[in-house]
Amino acid sequence: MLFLIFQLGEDRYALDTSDVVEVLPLLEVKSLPKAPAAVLGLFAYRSRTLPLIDLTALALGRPSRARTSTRIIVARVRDGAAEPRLIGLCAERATETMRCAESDFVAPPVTVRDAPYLGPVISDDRGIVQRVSVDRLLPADVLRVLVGEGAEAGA
Amino acid sequence: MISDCWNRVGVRGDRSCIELRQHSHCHNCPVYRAAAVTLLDRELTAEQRREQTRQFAEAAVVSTPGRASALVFRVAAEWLALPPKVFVEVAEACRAHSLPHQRSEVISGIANVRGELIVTASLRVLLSVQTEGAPPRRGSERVLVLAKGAARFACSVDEVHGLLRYDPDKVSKLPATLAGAAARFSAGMLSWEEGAQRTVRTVSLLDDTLLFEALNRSFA
Repeated sequence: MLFLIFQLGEDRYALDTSDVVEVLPLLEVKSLPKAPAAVLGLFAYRSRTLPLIDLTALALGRPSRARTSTRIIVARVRDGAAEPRLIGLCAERATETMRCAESDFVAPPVTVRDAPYLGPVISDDRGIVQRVSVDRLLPADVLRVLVGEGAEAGA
Repeated sequence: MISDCWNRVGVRGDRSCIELRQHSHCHNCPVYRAAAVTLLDRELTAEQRREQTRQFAEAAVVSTPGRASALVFRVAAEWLALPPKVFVEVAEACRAHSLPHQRSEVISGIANVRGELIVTASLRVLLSVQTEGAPPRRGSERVLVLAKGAARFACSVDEVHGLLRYDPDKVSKLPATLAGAAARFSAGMLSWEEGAQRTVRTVSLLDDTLLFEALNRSFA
């Protein structure tokens, strides 16, 4: 399996590339007033408009740096809706991929209740990489913005 | 801080790095790659961001590989193209022997192309290509041996570029106001990006059927 590696702060995380549609450089974003901080706003993607979620803001509470290595990962998210939805995920240092087997990952010894998206881990010569599940990524307040007030949050 | 190990123990140093045995060259080493990513990582300017936004806002351009091809050649200053199926060969330039009592200006004589006598026709006269313009490059002249059915003609041209692949759906029509001999034989215009500078040239794609009808008529 191929994984896209990105960083939250100094740590590396992996995203299954079968959920990834395209990796884009940082684009201009139209911000959404009153939206949670992790929702950066809307961006134009191939004649559509997609929401942009900042993964760094979501996990660490600070925005991603505006650098050339910070990328927008266009991902397919299945959050309870029948059709997978496209969203943009802004992540730092999303410049590498890693090829490894599903079985190389081991369950982490601890789980964080507020971060249900964190999955099994793998270690390589540069440290530990943790898998991130796109489908469980978005917290309820972000989902409410994306789906609407009455919608059932899938996670 | 980046450690430039490639300058000290790598291929630009004393080559004592143990990783070299596995990777053969620093270019293949993950340490080198990680350093390159770090060096290339920089602040994003607003201008870059705007440019990228414009690029990805548009629908994806899926490049359609050319499904057709044409052989591109030059007569005086005009770049022309013909479908490859009418070409028998592209030969070195050779002298035509004039035919007595031949009134057509298009037919210039007979040429010996590798032992075969072929009637030579002048595309320059047939298509009334303006002779002023780019002077021919010395030594680039060739003879095109064209055949369709039983008809076979040798035409001398000033330069042969080679095959150009194009998408038949993207052949642009000639402007309706364009008159003259060249327009009469043209099946459309191809755009051709030439050379490292990507200079876009316009190539007139000739209709081989019309061309051969005209050549056969001149010969009769």
